[in-house]
Amino acid sequence: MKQLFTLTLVFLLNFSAVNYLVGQNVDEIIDTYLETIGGVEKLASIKSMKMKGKANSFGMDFPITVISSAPNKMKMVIEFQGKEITQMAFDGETAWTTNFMTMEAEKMTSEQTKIFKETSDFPDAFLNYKDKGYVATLEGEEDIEGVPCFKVKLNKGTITVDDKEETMQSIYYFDKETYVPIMTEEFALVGEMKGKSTQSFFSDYDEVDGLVFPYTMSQKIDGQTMMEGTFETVEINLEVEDGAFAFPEK
Amino acid sequence: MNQLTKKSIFFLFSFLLISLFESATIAQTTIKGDALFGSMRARHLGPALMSGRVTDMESHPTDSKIIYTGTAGGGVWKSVDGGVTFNSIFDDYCQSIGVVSLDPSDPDNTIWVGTGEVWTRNSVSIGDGIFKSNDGGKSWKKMGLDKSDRISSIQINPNNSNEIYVGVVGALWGDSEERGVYKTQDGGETWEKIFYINESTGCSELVIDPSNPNTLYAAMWEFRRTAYSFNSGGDNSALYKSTDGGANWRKIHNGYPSGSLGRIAVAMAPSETNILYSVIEAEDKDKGGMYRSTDGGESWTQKNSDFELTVRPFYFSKLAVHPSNPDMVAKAGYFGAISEDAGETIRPIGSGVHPDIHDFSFDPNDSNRMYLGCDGGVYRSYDGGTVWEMVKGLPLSQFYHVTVDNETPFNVYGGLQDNGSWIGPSASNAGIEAGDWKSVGYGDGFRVYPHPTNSNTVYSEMQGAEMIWKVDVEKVQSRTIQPFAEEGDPKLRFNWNTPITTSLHHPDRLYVGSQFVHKSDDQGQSWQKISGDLTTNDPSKQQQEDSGGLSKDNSGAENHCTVFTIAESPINDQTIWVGTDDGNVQLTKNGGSSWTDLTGNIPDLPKNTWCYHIEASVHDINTAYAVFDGHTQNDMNPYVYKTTDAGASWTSITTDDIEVFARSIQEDFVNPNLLYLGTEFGLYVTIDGGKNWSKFTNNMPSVAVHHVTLHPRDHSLVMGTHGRGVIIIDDVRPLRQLTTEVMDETVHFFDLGPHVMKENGNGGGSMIGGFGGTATYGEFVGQNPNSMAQIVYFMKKRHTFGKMKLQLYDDQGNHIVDLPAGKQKGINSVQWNMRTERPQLAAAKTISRGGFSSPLAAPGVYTVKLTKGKEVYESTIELQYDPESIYSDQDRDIAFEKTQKLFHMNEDLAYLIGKADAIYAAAKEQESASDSKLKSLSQELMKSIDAYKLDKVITTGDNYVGAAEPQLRENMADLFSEVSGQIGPPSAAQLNNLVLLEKGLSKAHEEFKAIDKTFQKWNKLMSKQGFEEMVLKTKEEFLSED
Repeated sequence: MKQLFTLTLVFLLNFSAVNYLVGQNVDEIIDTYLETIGGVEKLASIKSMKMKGKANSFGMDFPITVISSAPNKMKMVIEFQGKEITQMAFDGETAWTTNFMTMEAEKMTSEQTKIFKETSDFPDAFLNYKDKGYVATLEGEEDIEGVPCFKVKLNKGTITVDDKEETMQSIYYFDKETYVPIMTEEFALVGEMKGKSTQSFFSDYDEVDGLVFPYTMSQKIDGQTMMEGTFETVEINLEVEDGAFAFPEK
Repeated sequence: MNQLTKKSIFFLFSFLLISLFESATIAQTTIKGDALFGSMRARHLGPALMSGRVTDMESHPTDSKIIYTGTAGGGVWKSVDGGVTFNSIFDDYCQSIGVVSLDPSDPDNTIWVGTGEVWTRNSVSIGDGIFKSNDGGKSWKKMGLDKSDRISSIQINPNNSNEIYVGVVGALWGDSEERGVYKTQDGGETWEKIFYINESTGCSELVIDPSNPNTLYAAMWEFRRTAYSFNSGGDNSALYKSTDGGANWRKIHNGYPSGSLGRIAVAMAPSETNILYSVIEAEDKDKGGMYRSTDGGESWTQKNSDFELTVRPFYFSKLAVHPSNPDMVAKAGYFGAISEDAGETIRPIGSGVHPDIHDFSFDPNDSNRMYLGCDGGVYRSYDGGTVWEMVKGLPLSQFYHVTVDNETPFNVYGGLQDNGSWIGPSASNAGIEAGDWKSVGYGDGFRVYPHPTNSNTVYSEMQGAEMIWKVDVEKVQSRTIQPFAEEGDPKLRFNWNTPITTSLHHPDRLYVGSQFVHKSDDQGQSWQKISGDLTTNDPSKQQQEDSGGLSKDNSGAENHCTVFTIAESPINDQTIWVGTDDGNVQLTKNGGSSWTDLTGNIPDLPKNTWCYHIEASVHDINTAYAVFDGHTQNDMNPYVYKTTDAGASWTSITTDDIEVFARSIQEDFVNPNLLYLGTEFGLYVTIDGGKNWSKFTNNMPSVAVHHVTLHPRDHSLVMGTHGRGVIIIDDVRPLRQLTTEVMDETVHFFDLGPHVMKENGNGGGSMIGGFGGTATYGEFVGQNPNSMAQIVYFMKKRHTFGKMKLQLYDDQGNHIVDLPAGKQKGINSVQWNMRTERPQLAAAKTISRGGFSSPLAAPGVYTVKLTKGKEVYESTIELQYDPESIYSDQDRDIAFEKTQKLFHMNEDLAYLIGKADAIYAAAKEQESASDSKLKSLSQELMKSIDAYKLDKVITTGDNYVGAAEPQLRENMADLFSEVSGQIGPPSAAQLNNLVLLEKGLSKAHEEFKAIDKTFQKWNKLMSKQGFEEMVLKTKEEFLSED
C-alpha cells in the first residue's frame, strides 16, 4: 500500500512537472533533454563509445561497429564475408573511406573533411552547445511518427563549401512527453544530394551505464529507408588506441 | 541522491507516465491524420516527359547554380545545379504559385512565395496567402494575406529586408476587397493595404526601382471570370507610379491609347532603371502591344503590336529585360518573343519549345543563360534564347481525370491541360520512364477510358469534345467518334472537360454528355440520345462568343449548361446518375426513358453549384455520392453528399476537417464506410463514412486532386492530380480493416491474405527484376510499386523505449530472418524480400559478389513474432508461388534442393578456411619459438596452410579489373548466386558445374586432413611446452559468430 502511494505521488509530481513544462523555452527543452539522457556531468565524462550491432540496408544485413572518441573522432566498420571494411572514419584531421574495388583506404575530399571537422560532436551536439557558438531555436511543434514533438533548430554556424557560405544546421524533434529525440533532420552540404534532407529516427531507447541511448536508428531520404542500425552492445569509456581512427598510410 | 539514480528514476517514470496516459485515453480513440496512416506512403508516377504549366522563373542574383520555379499546380521547385535537376520544396502547402521572390539582401536564405496562379485560365487553381522561408526553402512559415487568392508580385527593398511590397491580383471568381498593393515594414508580421481601386480590380504586376526603392510601378487590372464567361479590362485597368514608398499613386498613361485597357505587364531594365517596357491590352488591338519609356514611365512610345505582343493578355502578360542590355527584352506569349532592338522588332524564340510561355528569366551573371516556364515545364538556353532544351525532371503534369485497366501491371489513363491524353503503366522494368508512356490524343486531354474488356481500344478526347477518338493502341490508329446534333436538335453544348464513360454491364457501350446524355452500344459508331436537356439551359450563360473582355477569347473553355458527370450504377445498367456544371443532379432508373431532377432534394447547397462528380455505390443500388464544386461562384467550401434512397434525400458528409472545396470521391469496394475524397489541397480519407476526415500527407503534396479511382484487383488508389501527375497509394487494404476497436489495440496485425511471389520481371513488381532502364540522370522516373511481401500492423502508440524486434519463423519453428520493425503510431508496413539469411562465405582477400545472394524462402505459412518489451505479438504471413509461373512444382523442388546444397557447400568451405586461418594465426605466434621443434612445426603448418588456401580462396588482387583468378570459394558462391537468384530449375550446365564444385569441396575436406594431422602434432607439442592446448571452434560455434 505504501508502495502504491509512493508511486502515485511520483506520478502526480511528474504529471504536474510535465504540465508545467508546456510552453517553455528552448533552453528548458535542451536542459531537460540532457538531464533525461544522463545529465551534463555524465555526458561530459564520456570520452569514448563503441556500439556493435547489425545494419540493414535494402533487405541486406551486415554487422556494424561504430567507435567514437571525444571530441570528434569516429570510425564505422562493416563486415562482409569475414572482412572488416572501414566505411567511414575521421581521426580529427583526415576523413577517409574504403574503396570497394581495391579494398584500400582512400581519403575523402578536403571539403568533406572540413564538414566532418565542423559538424562532428561527440558525445552530444547539445553538450555545452553555447560555448561552441551554436544557436538553438524553438521552431514550433510537430508530430513525428504520431508523437507530438518540439522542433528545435540547432544552427552550428557557417562553412564555406563550393566557394560559398552554407549554414550548418540540424533539426531535432524532441518527444514532448519524454524529451528524447524521435527524429533529427540534416541537410547535405555538398554533392548531388546538396540541400536534400536525411532524416534519422531513433527508438528502442534503453539505459546503458547511466546513459539513455537509442539502440535503433534508421535513416531515410525522401521517405525511403536507406539504412537501419540496431545495436546489441554499447560500451562507454573503453580504451581506444590512439591510432584506431588514423588513415592507414601505405 | 546521486546523479545516476535520479536520472534512472526520471527514465522509469517516463515509462510509467506514458502507460498511465495510455490507459486514460483508451476510451476516446479517434486517431486522425498522419498518425492514422502511419507508414502508408504515396508514390508518384509522373509523367514528366511533357511536364506541366509553369508560372514563374526566378534566378538567384549572384549564384548561377540556384534557380527557383513556381508552378501552376505543382508547387515550388529549386535547382542547386544550374537547372539540371529540380527538387520540390513546397509540398505541404498550396501548390498553385503566383510568384517566388528572393530577398536581394539575403538571397541564399530568405525566400518569399506568393500563392495563387495569376494566369487566370478556366482551370486555374486557388491560392492560400504568402509564405516565407529563412533557410533557402527547407522550411516555410505562412505570413498572412490569407484571402489574397492570387499574388502577382513580391518586391523587397534591397536596403531593408523588412520592407516588402506585394501585388495582389485577388479573387478571380468574385468580388473581393483583398486586392491591390500591400506593404509590410516588419518582415511580414503585419500588412497594410496601401493601394486599392475596387473589389474587381487587382494588381497584376508590381515593380520596384532597386536604385530608389521608394519608386514603384503598379499595373492594376480589372477582370472577372465566371463558369461561363471571362472579362479582361475596363476603366479601372491602368498603370500607376508611386515615388514615396506607396503613399501616393498617380496614373502614368502619357503615350498610351485612350479608352479602356486590360491587363498590363511592366518591366524595368535592371541596367538602366529609367527604361521601362510595358505590354498593354487595348480596346483597339493595333494600339496595344509593347510600349517603351525612357523616363521612368512619365511618357510612353508604342513600339510594336505584333501577334506575340497582343496574344491572350490574361495568359501571357509577362516581360523580362536583359540584365545589362536595356534594349533586349523577352515577352511571354504563345510561342514567346525576344526583341533585341528595344521593341522595334521581335524574333521568335527557338523551335521545339512547348507553346504557351508564361515567364522568362535571364541569369543575371551570364545573360546567355536563360530559363523559361511554359505549359510544358521549364526549358534552359545557353545561347541567349535561340536553342532550348527541356528540363526532364519536373513531373508537373496536370491531369483532369484518371482511369485504370485490368492488365498486369495495370495501366493508368488520363488527359492533361494542354498536353494531350496518355496511357502509362503502373509499374515497369526500371521504374516508369518517359518512354513507357503512350500518347492517345492531342490538344488538351481530359477523360480517357480503356474498353472494359479489351484495353487495346481506348477512348480519348480533346477540349469541348471537338474530337472524341477511338484509338487502336497497338496499331496506332484512330478515328473520331463524337456524337453530332441530329435533325431538330439544338446546337450541342459540350463542356471543356466533356464527360465520357464506359459501362460495367455492356463492354461496347459508351456514354457522352452534352446538354444531353448520348449512348452508343457500338463503340461510338452510332449514338442515341437518352435524355432531354438535363441542365438549367440558362441562355444568359451561353454567350461564349462574347467572352474575353477587350480581347475576345472563345476557346470553348467557358462552355456552360452542360452535363459534367455520368455514373451508370455498377449494380444495374438502368440506373444512371448525371450531374451538370450548372448544379443539377438527375437520375434515371429506366435506362434514360425518364429522368428525375433531384437538385431540390439536396439541403444547404447553394444554387447552381457545379456538380463535379457522382459516384454510384457498388454496395447498394440506391446509394450514391455527389461532390459539388462551388469555387467558380467564389465559394471555396466543400460540398459532399450521400443518398441512400435514390436521391430522395441527401446528407452532407463533410466536416471541418476538410479545408477547401472537393472535386471527386471514390467509395471503397469492400468497406462502405471508407471513402476517398479529392480536394483542391490534397487527399482526404474517412474510415467512418464521413464523420471524421484525415488528410493523407505521406509523400502526398497538397495538390489539387481532380479525380480519384480505385483499382478493383490491386487495391491501389489512383489519383489524377492537376500539377503533380498520377499519384498512387498502393494498398488500401489496411484501411478497410481499421475500426475503432482495432485502434484501441496496442498492436494489431492486418490480414492481407497470401502474398504471391511474382515472377514476371517485365512489368516491374517482380521479385527478380530486370536489367535497368534507359533514363539518364536528371530525368524523372516514376516509382514502381513494392514487390516485397508485407507485414502490416497498427500500433496505438509509437514505440520509443525498450527493445522491439520483428522475427520470422517457418512452420517448424526455425528462425528464418529478422526484419527492421516499424515503430510509428498508426499503420506500419514492414517489407520482406522473401529471402532467408545469406550463407557465410570463407574469408578471403577480396569480396565475392556471389556472397551477396540469399535463398528465396519456400512458399508456406510463416510465423511473425513482434517482440515489444516483454510482450510478444504473433501473426502469420503466407507466401504463394506465382500461379502464372512457367515452372512446375517439380522444377522448383530441384531449384530449392540445389540452392540449399550450394548454401551448405559454401558454409562448409567457410568453416574449413576458418579453421585453417585460426590455426595459422596460432602457429604464427610460435614461428620464432625458442624451441626449434615447435618453431619448425609452426612454420610447416603456416606453409601448408598457405599452399592449402591457394586454390580454395582468392588471396591476391582486388575487386575490380585487378581481380585474381576465382578459386573454389568464388566459383561456389557464383553458382549459388546464379541458382538462388533465378526462378526455376538449374540448367544442365549449372548442374554439371555443381558436380565439379562438389569434387573440389571433397578435395578441400580431404586436403585439410593433412593440416589437421600436423595441427594435432603441433598442439601436443604446445601442450608439452606448457601452453594450453588450442581447441578449434565447432562448426555451429563458428557459424553462429555473427
